[in-house]
Amino acid sequence: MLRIKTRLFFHFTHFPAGKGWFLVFLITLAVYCWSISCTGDNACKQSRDVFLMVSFRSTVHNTEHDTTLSYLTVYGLRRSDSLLYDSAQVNKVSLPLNPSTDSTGFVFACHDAVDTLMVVYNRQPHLLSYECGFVMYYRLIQVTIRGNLADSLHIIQSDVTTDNGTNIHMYY
Amino acid sequence: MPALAQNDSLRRVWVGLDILPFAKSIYGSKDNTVEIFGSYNIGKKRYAAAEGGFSSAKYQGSNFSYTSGGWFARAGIDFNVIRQEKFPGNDQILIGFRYGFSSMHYQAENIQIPAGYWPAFLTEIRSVSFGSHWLETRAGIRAEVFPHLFIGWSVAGRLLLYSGHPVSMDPFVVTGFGNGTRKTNVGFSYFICFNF
Repeated sequence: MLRIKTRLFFHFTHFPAGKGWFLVFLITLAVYCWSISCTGDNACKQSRDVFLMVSFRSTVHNTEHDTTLSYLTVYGLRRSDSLLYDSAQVNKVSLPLNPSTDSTGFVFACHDAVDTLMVVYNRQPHLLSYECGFVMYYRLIQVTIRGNLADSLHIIQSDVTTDNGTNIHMYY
Repeated sequence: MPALAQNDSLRRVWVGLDILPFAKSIYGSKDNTVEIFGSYNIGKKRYAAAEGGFSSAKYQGSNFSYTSGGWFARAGIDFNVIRQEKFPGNDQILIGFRYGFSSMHYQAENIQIPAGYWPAFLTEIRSVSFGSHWLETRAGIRAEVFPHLFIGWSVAGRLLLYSGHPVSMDPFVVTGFGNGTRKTNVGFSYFICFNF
């Protein structure tokens, strides 16, 4: 009876190398617990920022390079009360797209010149991880600019994600 | 009693139940699983094995709530590698391989994209159904505690071959496979089974 009870708990003790099998059991149990514990860290260590990245470029003697704009003011269309950039000297800007709509407009003002950038996109909620939760990813469909500041623009990368690589080159 | 005679006392069919998920549910596991299995002695210490079950999962994230459910099946073969002449009795050391398949659905609700420059936005991912395939290797033991009643444990290394879920959301758990955010998993089972 004692033997049966023992085997119920360590049901391999009748093996000649019973201690060895118990050790194997403990090791496999430890590996399993370790594999579970690896998912137990609830801290989010990833960036959750998703911005449309616009770089300013110019062409001199058929050579394209970065260029810096001075006194540049940027704000969302009909959001002139809340500036994204205020008289800044920058060679690129990070623009938040509106997650509630399929298009977002931005106003670029530099000295007396003003441009309006219109961005049309698809939206897709994306789970970064179970610790970090969801962010909104975007795929650019159409980007247009109207005004007298920039000459043209070119989409470099249509996916707007947490990678935050350059999406648009804007030429001056 | 000679080892061969003891081995002959076993019948060909095993049917069992994994009891580890019930223990995990006591400790508040986020997924609930019921798993049964059967195996059939096809001779020369080889066993055709089949497993199946259901599972569901819930997860409350920082800005969303997630639910999933589905069923799974595995099929494969086990080899009893115990040396009967050295270890007399009906106990078994099993090493095996499995092919696994699951069909499940998941959804995420109350996805809150927080306010930044623009107002906050509330959305959802409606229920999506998809299948998954994986391979696994298995090792474990099965010990006879009463005539024809066995308990045992096994550890499995799993490799996900394919999962048809949208790239926008990894499943919290792939039914029958484990952690859905990984391509490889370690599984552990502690089971009771009958030989008849």
